[in-house]
Amino acid sequence: MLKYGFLLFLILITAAGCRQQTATPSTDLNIMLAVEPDPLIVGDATLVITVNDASGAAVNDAKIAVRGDMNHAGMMPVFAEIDSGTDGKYRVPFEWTMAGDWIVEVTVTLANGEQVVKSFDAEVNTSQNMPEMTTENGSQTMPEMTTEAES
Amino acid sequence: MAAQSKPLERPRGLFDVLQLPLIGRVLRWRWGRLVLQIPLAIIALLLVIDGFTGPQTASRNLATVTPWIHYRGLVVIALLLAGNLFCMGCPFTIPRTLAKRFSLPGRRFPRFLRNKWLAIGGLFTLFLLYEWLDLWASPLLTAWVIVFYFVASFVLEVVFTESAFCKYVCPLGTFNFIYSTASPTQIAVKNHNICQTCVGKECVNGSYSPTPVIRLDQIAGGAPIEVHYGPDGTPGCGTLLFAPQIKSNLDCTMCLDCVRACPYQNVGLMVRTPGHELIQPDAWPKRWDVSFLVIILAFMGLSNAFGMVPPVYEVERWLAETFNIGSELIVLFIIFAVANLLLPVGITLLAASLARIFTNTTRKFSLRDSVAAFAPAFVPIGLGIWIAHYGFHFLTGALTIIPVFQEFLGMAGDWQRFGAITTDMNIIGLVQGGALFGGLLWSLVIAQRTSLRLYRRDGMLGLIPWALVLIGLALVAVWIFGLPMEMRGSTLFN
Repeated sequence: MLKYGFLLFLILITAAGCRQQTATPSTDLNIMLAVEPDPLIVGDATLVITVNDASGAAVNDAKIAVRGDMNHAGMMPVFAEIDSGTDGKYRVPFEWTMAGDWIVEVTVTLANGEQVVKSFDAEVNTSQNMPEMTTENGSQTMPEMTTEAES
Repeated sequence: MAAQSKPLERPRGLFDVLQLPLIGRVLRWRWGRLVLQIPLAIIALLLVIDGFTGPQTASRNLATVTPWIHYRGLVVIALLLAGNLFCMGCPFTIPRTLAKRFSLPGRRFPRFLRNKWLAIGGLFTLFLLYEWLDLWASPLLTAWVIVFYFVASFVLEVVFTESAFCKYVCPLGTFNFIYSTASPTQIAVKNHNICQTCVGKECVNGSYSPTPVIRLDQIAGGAPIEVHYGPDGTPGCGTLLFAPQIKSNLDCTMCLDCVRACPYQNVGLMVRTPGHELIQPDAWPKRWDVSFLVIILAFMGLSNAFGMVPPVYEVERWLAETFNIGSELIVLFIIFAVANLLLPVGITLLAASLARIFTNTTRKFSLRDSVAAFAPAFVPIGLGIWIAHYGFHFLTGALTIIPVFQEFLGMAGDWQRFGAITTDMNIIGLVQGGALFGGLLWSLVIAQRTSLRLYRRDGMLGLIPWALVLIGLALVAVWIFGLPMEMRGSTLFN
């Protein structure tokens, strides 16, 4: 019985190491997310993703993939993609399918294949339930969560 | 003497599940419970590993997807259609055998705690923490909850002789106990005469003993089947139920230890009319703690769902501003104390009092007995509310477990394929409506039969207050489930 338990333990430890690990970013990117319309309400929206390199120069030739998850498990994620930007800004059509707390994960794939992933928090409301929010240039800048990179 | 000659309770079972060819053999097998427990234990360990080491996005972690979507959805379905399968396969009790080895001899759970007040407190605390800490959004905290369950179960098994954790503490088990009373299966004996002459009462005492045991009836005539006595024996009922006296699924974990321990193969898992015990006058003890547990759990179904719809944030904001409260925990505590304790207790006492006044039976029935008589009527409507809530999450997100597990294994999760598959909202609405309407109808039938039994010709008068409470519960549930759902931690206090 003990050896089976030990075998199970080994399997589980192995399983724990299966998840794809993220590497330390080698490219320093500044990724910002703003959302139109503001404040965030259920329905169609545009994510304005700004990508600049470490020197502040706009990055226009990246591919952007966006994934929106509600913070509750089991809800259908929302995906969107775009291939090019202007002045470092990528306008991604998106849809907030439900009110609540969202986690928006932005994956920037550079021309050299390197990926940088950054997550943002978003609070989406129904049109009847809109709290006061800080705005910036007609759109809301989302708080940053984490940055990861994959190569 | 009359009491002794009275036949013991036995449900009118159609057949014994344990006599089915394959299932019965597996379940009766000495390690039969482990067949269910080991897969669930592996799943639990995977959840803990992913909760501690995986991504902390709830929708992409096994620790949050599995318990909050699949466990909750499947458990209510199992309770309704089969029985208390999740207590039967509970992985938290696997260390029970090990704990038995270290168990302190002879120490029972403190007498003043041998009731359901602790269970009510456990449920209240769990639901409060669920909202306050946003457990549904945190893989890490969910993993800690699982670890806590393992530790608490083991420690209580070591310290006390009976399964105190299952019977008096575990919120999940308490939930299962209550709603398994509506299930179509129940432990029962086949021949009461055998029980009356049985010497060892192994179903409750067990055949487990640190030292070999010599049975007096074996010396006299021998046992009909082989039962191991000594350290290899089977423990008796962990929650101290005596099989021939079982009238209810309350406190039955369906571990089937009684089945395995019985030397006469006289204990079975009988199929019965679903909810049979809910219309039996003496199936449940007439105790405040049991009655309020059942009623409060139905109200908790409402408050738990209420935590997902926009008005809850208005209530939180109003409370915070009106009473100048800066702590979310205090605001939630107030909401939960009112919704889960004050309201159910107050409404119940009011309904019972009115029914007694309407029927002029204030001297005939005590308030406690009146409440106890109608408490079973809150099981179907409560179960309906929980099915409507948990069924929604399960039907919308069941297949998301596939890409989550793919990612856990280091593969790319096929979210486009499986994450986008969800049950049609109209069908979900039908399921929710059916659960609520069916639950209400079932509850009203139970309440009516109870009222007619208690109040005879004045039965309809006595029914009115209780029917209003049950209908009110259903209407509030319809209102809540009709609102747009929101998934958020409370940002009010951030």
